[in-house]
Amino acid sequence: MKILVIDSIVPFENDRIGEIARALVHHLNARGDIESELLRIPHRNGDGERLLADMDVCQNLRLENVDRVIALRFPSYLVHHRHKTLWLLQQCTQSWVPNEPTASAEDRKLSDIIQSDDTQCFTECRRIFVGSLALGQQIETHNHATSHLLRPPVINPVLLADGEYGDYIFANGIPAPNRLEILIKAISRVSAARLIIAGVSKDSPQYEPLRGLITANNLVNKVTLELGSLSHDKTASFLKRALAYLDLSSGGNSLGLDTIEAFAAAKPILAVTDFGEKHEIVIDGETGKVVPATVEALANALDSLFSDRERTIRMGQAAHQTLNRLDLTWPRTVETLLAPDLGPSGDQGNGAKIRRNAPCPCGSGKRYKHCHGRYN
Amino acid sequence: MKIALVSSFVPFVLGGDRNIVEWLEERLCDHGHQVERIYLPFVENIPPAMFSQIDAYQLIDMSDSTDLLIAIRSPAYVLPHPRKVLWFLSHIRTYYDNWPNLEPTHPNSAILNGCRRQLMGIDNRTIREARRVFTISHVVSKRLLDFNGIESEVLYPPLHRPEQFRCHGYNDEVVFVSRIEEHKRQHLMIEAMRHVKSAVKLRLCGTGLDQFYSDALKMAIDDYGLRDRVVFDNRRISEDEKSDIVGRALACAFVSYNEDYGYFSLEAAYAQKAVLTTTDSGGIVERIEHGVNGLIAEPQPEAVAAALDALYRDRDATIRMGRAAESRARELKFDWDHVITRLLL
Repeated sequence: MKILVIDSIVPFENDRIGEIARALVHHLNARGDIESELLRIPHRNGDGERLLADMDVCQNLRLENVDRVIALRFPSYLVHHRHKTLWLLQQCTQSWVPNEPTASAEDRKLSDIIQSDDTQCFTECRRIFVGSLALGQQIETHNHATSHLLRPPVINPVLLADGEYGDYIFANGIPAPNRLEILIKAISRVSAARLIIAGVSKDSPQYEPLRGLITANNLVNKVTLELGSLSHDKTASFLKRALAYLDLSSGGNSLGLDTIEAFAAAKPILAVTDFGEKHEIVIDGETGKVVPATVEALANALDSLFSDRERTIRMGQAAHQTLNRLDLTWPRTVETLLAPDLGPSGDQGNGAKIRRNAPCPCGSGKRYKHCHGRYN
Repeated sequence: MKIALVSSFVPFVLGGDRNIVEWLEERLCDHGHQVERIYLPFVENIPPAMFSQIDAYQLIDMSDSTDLLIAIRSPAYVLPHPRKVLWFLSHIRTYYDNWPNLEPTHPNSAILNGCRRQLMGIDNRTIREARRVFTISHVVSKRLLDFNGIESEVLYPPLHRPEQFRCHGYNDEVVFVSRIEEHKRQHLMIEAMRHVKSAVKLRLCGTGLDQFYSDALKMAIDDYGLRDRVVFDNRRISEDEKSDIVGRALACAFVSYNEDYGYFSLEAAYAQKAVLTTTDSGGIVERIEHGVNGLIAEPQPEAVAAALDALYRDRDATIRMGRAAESRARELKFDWDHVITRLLL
């Protein structure tokens, strides 16, 4: 069977979903009975006209010599094929505009077009998987599409195995502006705390404020900034040697890839309470620290992570076990994506409740409560 | 420099066009450039959808993110870019040099005629947008001039690693490695094998999209009782296998109809093998001198059979031609540095 994986790319901007696309092709080919190739359709970050043009591109391309396609994100999933599986990992932000009270008439019009094209496309898909619950809810609300949750696995677990526990916590990218000051002040209160932030861009609007805060609080020796975008390997090497992983983001559409990578590296996560759906697996006191976004709470959490290393390491091991229980592996992901048709996604009981002991609709063969039901 | 390397493709079909793209990509990266390789699907021969696909191509705009666009397989050249360079492999040939074969028998020839005029209009306009137009052989350059009035420079695509092809001696086989397609004319080789008088053997390797053609070849081999002298290895062979098979061959054959380039004949040359080709084989013929580095036969089974017999019977001459083929290839300097200098001029 020939399976074409379809992704949208902005030239020279390699992102995580692009890496997932490559990994998927690799693992499809690894099965031996499947040939897989990647189609990457150029896309631009941009305004209305551009979006519509890029959608047009996808809708007008034609395929031959392909038995199935697996499409990963907007707008590449608009490419027509009679056997299309959607594994939605990224949606167009424009498609939710009508809910914003400030949206202009033009934005609304654009949004209507995107929504109606999406809805049409989703009906044509044999099956729809979503990378996060939030994406599933969005397409259910806006496109009345039923989907199955299929979180992406760690891209390359080997890179994260056999780490050690160093003397720093690690963050990938500068935290949001409203979190910077809290973080830096919390660190200045805990004498043992050290932080490495990787993937820092000098062009980021947060870069100068962050530098200022570090200097003002005399933390040059405690907070290290690694400039430039990091390769997957480099990020992994920082993560492997960290004591814990810091994630101050507020959830949203995130696929939670950072979370599962930290868990794969057996690191507990320090997060804040509006962490979003990553909450599903980060449990305060067991697999990490989930605290309110205040200086006081963060400082306490940092103090306990650095002073009680044994407990921190135990939480890291528990995090790793949690990930193993979730069974987020490439072979299982591939099996799920290829499982025999569940019928058009709309027929999937129309959202009717699945009994907890019934077989999971993803086709894994497990009971629902032990499979996708875990998230509900 | 940030370079977009754009080509059309049929998913899962590998051929010389992909080699050119991927080898060029590697060499550009070696020269310190950043390359984004873009393969876009394209389905030929279905007129209305063909133009909507071309429309889609024309909407792809990478001018913000790239400094240069190099277009390879048609119709990648329709993509807009302020700095566009073509390394033109061939037209969409159904509407160009293959047109005489198609038009009279097709039921919708009026519609097809319209399509052809439209396509030529698009080509005339979008190819001229390019800063420079290079082609892979004189045959292709001549077609561009004859059909579109566009001048171009020939830039022969080099092999990826010529050193991979070596001579490991000379057995009794004439080898033809190619996609299995009607215009590649594997059938001509099988027909020729009915007429040979010597003990020469034939080996065909490759896969193709047209299962009927592959099946027909297999049936012909059986029907003609050629199974002990013709091997049809109907699968994709690896580069290593290919260099091994070619390295041990007596000679190589490449008898396609109106070929644009014919990488295989170059591989054969580096392995010191004489190349048997036909008078109407296009780009290959321009690199073969009859009796010097190969044989050029009329595209008839009897003529090809006579050439096969000659290759088998006069082994010394065949080996001499093989060695000459290698020196000739080295003289012509198929050189990646030269290719990159010209493309980035």
